Amino acid sequence: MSYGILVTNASGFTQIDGTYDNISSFSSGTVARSYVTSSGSQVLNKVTFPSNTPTDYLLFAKPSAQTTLRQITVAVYSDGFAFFTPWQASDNFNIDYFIGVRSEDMPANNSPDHGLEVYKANGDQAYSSNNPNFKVSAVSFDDLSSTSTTPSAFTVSSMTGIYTLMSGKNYVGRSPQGWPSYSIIYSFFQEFDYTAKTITGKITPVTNAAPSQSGSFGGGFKTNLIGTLT
Amino acid sequence: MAYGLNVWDASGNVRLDTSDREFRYVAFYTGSVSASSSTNVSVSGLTNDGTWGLNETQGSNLFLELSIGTNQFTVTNTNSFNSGTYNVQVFRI
Repeated sequence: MSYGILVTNASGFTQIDGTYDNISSFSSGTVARSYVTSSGSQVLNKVTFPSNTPTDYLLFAKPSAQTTLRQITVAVYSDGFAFFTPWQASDNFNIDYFIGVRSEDMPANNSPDHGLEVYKANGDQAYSSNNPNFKVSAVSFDDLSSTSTTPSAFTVSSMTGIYTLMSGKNYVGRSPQGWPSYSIIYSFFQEFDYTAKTITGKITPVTNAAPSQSGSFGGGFKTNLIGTLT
Repeated sequence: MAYGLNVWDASGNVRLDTSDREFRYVAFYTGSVSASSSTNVSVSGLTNDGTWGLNETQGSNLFLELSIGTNQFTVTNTNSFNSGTYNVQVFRI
């Protein structure tokens, strides 16, 4: 960096550098879970993208009620997204979400208070303390190779306000089990266990599909993040 | 506090603390991979050191595999019949 500002945390990780964009909450809300019944019927509760949502958005989510054990995955459509529970899991609950975008894609703030704004060399905003920014609590990486892969788990001291990054690989495999009636689609779920205070990746059936005599799997590198919006 | 930067909002809420680890967006890459092929995408500085993250967000395509390398990532399409479109987000943590 030839000029500008570089902020590192006490452990040496860069927080702000005016080169890369910090992440802010563009839109947030609460939506009921979606799921697929045993007969293949879909109960869909879709969130429509707000106008001006950039194409490189990120989705973060957590169960609204921080009790019991919940598994969610995300399905993205051309006009929105929905959070699904595992196949045939009809237990109803709500999910809090927010759409994360680069600081430069945040709506103009015409009445900023005080604090810090950092701009990149091209004049686009990289950071603003007027926006809630995503603070990372923990990160892990998986290499998804089959439905028997054991993804990473996070254990935290407090689950309060913890969101997980939902963007990334969701459909990861199709199994021929169910032939000749159907096949099963596996998805990457995030499991929130509010008793054990863990958030764990799970590869779990999300829906049935047309029958297939052969299976397939597509995954590879995946980044898992948990954190809070501050 | 040893050193670093604290930022508050007008209500006195801490927006940035010296212990925070921030999520920063590097770039978004999109493209196409032919059937049974791989493509390498250059990303300056990328390395698998725990401070770089990437995800393929074309989540409904079962046949795309993502791998991280040095100064590049690779997308492999295992589908023998159809090309695939990838959307890869790269970020620092």
